[in-house]
Amino acid sequence: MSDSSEKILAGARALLAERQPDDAIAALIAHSAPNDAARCALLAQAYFQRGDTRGDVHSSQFFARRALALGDSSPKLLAICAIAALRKELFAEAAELFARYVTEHSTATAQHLRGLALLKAGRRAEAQPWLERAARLEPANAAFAAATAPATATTRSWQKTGQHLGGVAEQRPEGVATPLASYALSTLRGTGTAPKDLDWLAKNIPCQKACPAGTDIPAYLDAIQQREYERAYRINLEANVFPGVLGRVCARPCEAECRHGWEGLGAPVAICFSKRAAADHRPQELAQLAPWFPPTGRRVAVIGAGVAGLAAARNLALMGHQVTVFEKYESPGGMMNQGLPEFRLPRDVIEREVEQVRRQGVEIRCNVEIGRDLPLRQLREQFDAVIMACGTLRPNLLKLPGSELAGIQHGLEFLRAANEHKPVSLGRHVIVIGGGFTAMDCARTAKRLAPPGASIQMLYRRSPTEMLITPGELEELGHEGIPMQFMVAPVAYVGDPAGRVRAMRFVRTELGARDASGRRRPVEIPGSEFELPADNILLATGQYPDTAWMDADLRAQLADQDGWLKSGRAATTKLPNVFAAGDFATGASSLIQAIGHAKACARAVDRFLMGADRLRDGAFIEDATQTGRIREMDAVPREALPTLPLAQRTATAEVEQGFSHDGAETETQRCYLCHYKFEIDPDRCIYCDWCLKAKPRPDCIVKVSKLTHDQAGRIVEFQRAQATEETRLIWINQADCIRCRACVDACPVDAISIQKVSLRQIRVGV
Amino acid sequence: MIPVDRRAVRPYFPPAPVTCMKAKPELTQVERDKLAIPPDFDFKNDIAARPLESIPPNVLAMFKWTGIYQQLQRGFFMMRVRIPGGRLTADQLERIADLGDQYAQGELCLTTRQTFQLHWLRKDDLWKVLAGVAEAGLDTKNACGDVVRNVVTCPLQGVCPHEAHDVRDMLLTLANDPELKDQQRNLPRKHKIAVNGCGRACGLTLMNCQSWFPVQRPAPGGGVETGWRWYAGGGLGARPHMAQCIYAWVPESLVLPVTQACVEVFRRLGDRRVRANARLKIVVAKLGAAGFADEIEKVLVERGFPRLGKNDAPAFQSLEKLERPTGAEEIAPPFLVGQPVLPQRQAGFNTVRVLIPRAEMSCAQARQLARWAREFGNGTLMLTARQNVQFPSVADAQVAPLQAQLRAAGFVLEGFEQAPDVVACVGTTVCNLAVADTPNACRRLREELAADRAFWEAVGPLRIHMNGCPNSCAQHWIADLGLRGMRRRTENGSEEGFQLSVGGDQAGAGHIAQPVCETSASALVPTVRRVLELYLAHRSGKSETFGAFAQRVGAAQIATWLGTPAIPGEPVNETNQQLRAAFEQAVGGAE
Repeated sequence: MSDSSEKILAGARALLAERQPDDAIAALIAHSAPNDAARCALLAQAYFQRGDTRGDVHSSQFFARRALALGDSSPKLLAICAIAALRKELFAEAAELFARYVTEHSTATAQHLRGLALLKAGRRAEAQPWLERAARLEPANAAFAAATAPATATTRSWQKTGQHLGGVAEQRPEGVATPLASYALSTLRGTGTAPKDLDWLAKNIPCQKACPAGTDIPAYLDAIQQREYERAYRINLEANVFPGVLGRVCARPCEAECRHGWEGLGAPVAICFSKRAAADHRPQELAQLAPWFPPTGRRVAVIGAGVAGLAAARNLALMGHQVTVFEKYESPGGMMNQGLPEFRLPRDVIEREVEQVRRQGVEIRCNVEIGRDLPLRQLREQFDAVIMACGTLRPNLLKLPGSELAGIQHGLEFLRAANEHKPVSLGRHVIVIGGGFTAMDCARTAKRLAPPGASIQMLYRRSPTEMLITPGELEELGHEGIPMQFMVAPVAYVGDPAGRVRAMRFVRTELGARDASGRRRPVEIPGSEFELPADNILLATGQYPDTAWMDADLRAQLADQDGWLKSGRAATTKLPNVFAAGDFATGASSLIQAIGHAKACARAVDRFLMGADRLRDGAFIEDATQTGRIREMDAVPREALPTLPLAQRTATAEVEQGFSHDGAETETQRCYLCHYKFEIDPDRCIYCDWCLKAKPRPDCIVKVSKLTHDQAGRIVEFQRAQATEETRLIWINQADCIRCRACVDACPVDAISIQKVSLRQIRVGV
Repeated sequence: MIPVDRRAVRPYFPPAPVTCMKAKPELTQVERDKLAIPPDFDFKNDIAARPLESIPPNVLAMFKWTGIYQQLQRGFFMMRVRIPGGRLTADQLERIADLGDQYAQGELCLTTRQTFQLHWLRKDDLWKVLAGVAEAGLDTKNACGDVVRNVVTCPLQGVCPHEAHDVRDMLLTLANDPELKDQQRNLPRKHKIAVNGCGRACGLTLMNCQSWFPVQRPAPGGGVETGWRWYAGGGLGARPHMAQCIYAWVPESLVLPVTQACVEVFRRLGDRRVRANARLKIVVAKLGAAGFADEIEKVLVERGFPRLGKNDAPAFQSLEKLERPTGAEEIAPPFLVGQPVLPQRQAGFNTVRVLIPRAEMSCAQARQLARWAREFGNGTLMLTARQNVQFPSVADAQVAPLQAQLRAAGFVLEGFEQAPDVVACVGTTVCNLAVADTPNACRRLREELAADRAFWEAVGPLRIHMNGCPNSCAQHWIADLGLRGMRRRTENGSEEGFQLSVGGDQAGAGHIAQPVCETSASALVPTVRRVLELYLAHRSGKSETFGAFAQRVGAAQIATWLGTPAIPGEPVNETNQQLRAAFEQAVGGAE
């Protein structure tokens, strides 16, 4: 043997000692075909070390046999051959091989295996001494004892479960429970209300879960893709009441969660703009929904005709109740038309969708201020239930030195004046303080209303990542030429002798620990103060609910001294027939959060009025054969929304122009349609791995040795199988599945089904 | 443990670039690879010089166009030789055996497309093996890949008493046609051609993409004229289809043009988006026989084969000579039913058959066969679709001495087309796609059945085919008794098993085997025996073969008689897992 050969063998032995069989194999075959006993023997050991992954048992046996044929008769090779024979149920061969090297002086394990081979070969009498001796040598070894014990399962069979999922071409029976815990849902088809069903919806349709109103986003994107705009609009209308409004100004929590935006998958679908396309391209007629329940004769008063009040009112009307909304201003809409500038939200869109609420049977009485015109006490007496949806009208004015100076105004007050087309006086230097929705709207409105050449600046005490704004808004701000300074906190207003503000003093900040909102708290940097000239300072620094209008005794029961409700964010209050909806309960939030809260509030009111839950959530499961989506659609980039050129931007001209038909179709085609469930039938799967070879994501289909369920039957964890024999399931990890259908096309035995699973509001007793 | 809602959320995203691109299907990755990566590699100066890790998987996949696959065991490769019609000389076999000894661990594996595979080849040796194959006058080009594969024929091609005339020339014409071999190398999927000696089922006419066999009829001017019958659209894989007769009569001059047109139609119409639907069988199934013939004729017209009467083209080139079937054309039952020696149409000569269990042959055995082919035959050998070897042209007087030699060397000479003659793939031993250890199951089944001569003789003709996965390389769909590998879950993991089907047939209009049951590998042998016992108990008479019986009573009836097969003992995968530590100790402690 040459030195180089000896070196290769030594290297392979070292790698095997370190349990690196793949490297050992590579080293052994690096220079020439392994045609000698020494290398074949080491290859046999390397494959044996690899375990029982496909081909390894055969390879270890193959090279052990080769080594034996080439003259190496070491017991190690005989052991490898014997064990391979045992694993392959070639028991007589295994017994013969063990007999060639195992003696009464061998290790307990070797003697045990020799006995086991004889036992399995049907030679019990011969087996007995070997097994008994092994058990005597290692009395604590439970495996030895188990082998000699009488078999508990003498025979079994490959019985399948009864009804099972089957493949894509099959129809599943309705209302039949799924037979195995590993199934994703509780029911083969129909409606599932088990915790695992709702859990599936929450985990698998992240956009819908993120939408406070629970809008069925994949369903309406699919409808838009098919240019069925009316259907798409109605899906939205039912869920979130104001599709046209939200399609323009929604905070889009859905898009932050969109699967297409997950790491490595590109940009999220433009859900919000697509929603608007449905509203834009449908026939511009008022849409009405069929009532969910017949009239109940119950009467509900709603205080405030903002989004929360109107959303709660609309849903209660659909539930059959008689609803009256009281609004203190002269027109309904609340923050929609008081806070949002017209260039973002045209007023005819608001009017149409408020009118739709009215047409559902909701009475809206404007210019009636509860507390002033009609006390809450009286309202409680006249109506079966009262919902307080009064928004957040108490401004948070910064208590800083100089706060009495003229030229300082709260942002909402400024926006209301601008939106009502009242005169607004702005100087050459306008400072907007804040980092939220209101700050953005103040700055962009001020830009349009200030004298030409005026400087508009936004200043925020944290970094951009802490801002609570709509995606894309910051870029639009830059596009309109409004500079922003981050990490600066206001310290004082600086006035001129006439008592008017002339500058604002700031201090620079750095981010510290997280506060209650989860955002990092700004910490002032000493000595970093600076001043900026200011003729106007707009404070977009938040607002709170105002409870001063309540009757004193009721206020004492409902609210704390600081003006917040004692009941916190809950829809119910300390008084049984008084409820709270939207920002009034939660504090200032987004329109969609207010609508979501109002919907929950409406359900709570209905429960109070009717004495039972008449609506509950369920998963509606339908069979499908295709989704209409192909893998290559992933490569389509996010469609940009056309906007108005800068030169044409005015206080009323809408900036965002909306998608064309083609733009909406292209964009909605990008949706993964996460409401489709791809699932492997474990009774039909043959573990061929073809789906694993076709899968586009590392973890979308996995070999699983164990699934862990919680007490409610929800699948919470999976354990990857490390070897073939411990692979219990080939399992679609639906949290990582991108609904590409590659697995269905690859499956040779039609073991993978497609079903559409949708969150549905179930009417109990109807 | 991995939580099921793991994901990476991007809470903020930049505005998208302005685009207006319609979402539309693009080429799949495989199709992109086929366009981007030239299929011919320099295995000596390029591939052998590069580390394996530096060769991307999609480049490795393109090795198939040279007949080379990555083996299940990383670092090793399989090479398939192209042997048109399965006929090779003794010299060629010896050279292949030399290569096997030198580079392939001394083993050759016979395939169901009448050729050899060499396993355990190192990347750096591929060029040496390719050079050796070329020296033998053979090649590996198009032995794998989305191309026209090795053209096959019936086992008695050239010697069969039923062969209308020797089809070898036509077979080689199609096999070596430059358009088919060198130009059509980006087909949607593989394409398989058979050229058989007659319309009997020995040639597996119905399972190939296109199949030809000669037919004769009275000539208009008296005497007999010879033409060809053409079938297309057969294919097995996971979703089997039987070929349909497209033309009942094709003049010999149009055989190559029609074959070329068929490949061109396939190139154009094959579904390149979903590989499972990419084969020609799907095209033919969608169009129907007449619709497919229309497409063929469109291509022929494009290529200058105009219709008769429309211009002055010679009549022999006219499409009117392509006669579509007027009735139900059927394939006759096979001639081969167990004969160990077949008298040839050449008087005084015979074909002697050798059964190669599980298609595995050592290189030493191959050399023996080559030597005897020279000594007792005409120096050639025939590889068959049943993975066996035949000696053609053995003179009457040499048959017995040859058989004596073969027997003395341990070769099996009996049981053809009967229980001992099992067709099986390589399974999980070396194949990337397999899910069951077919060779092991095959060995256990053969040992059980072949050892009981009285039983298998009582059973009579029986073609058992075993496949380790649904791909049907071992053609389980057309077997009397087909077995397809699978796994099934147990309490802790999964165990190996097989689906058992019956009634596959290549005669008549063809018949696809129908499933009877699924059983674990542990219970396979008793289950098969039980099915055969049921046949013996319920057949209509001794003349009713197992295949005929299975088709008469149906798989469902057999399943009812069989019940759910019982499996003895604990699942073997669980036992193996329990013994894992003991196995390690046993090898570690064996000195």
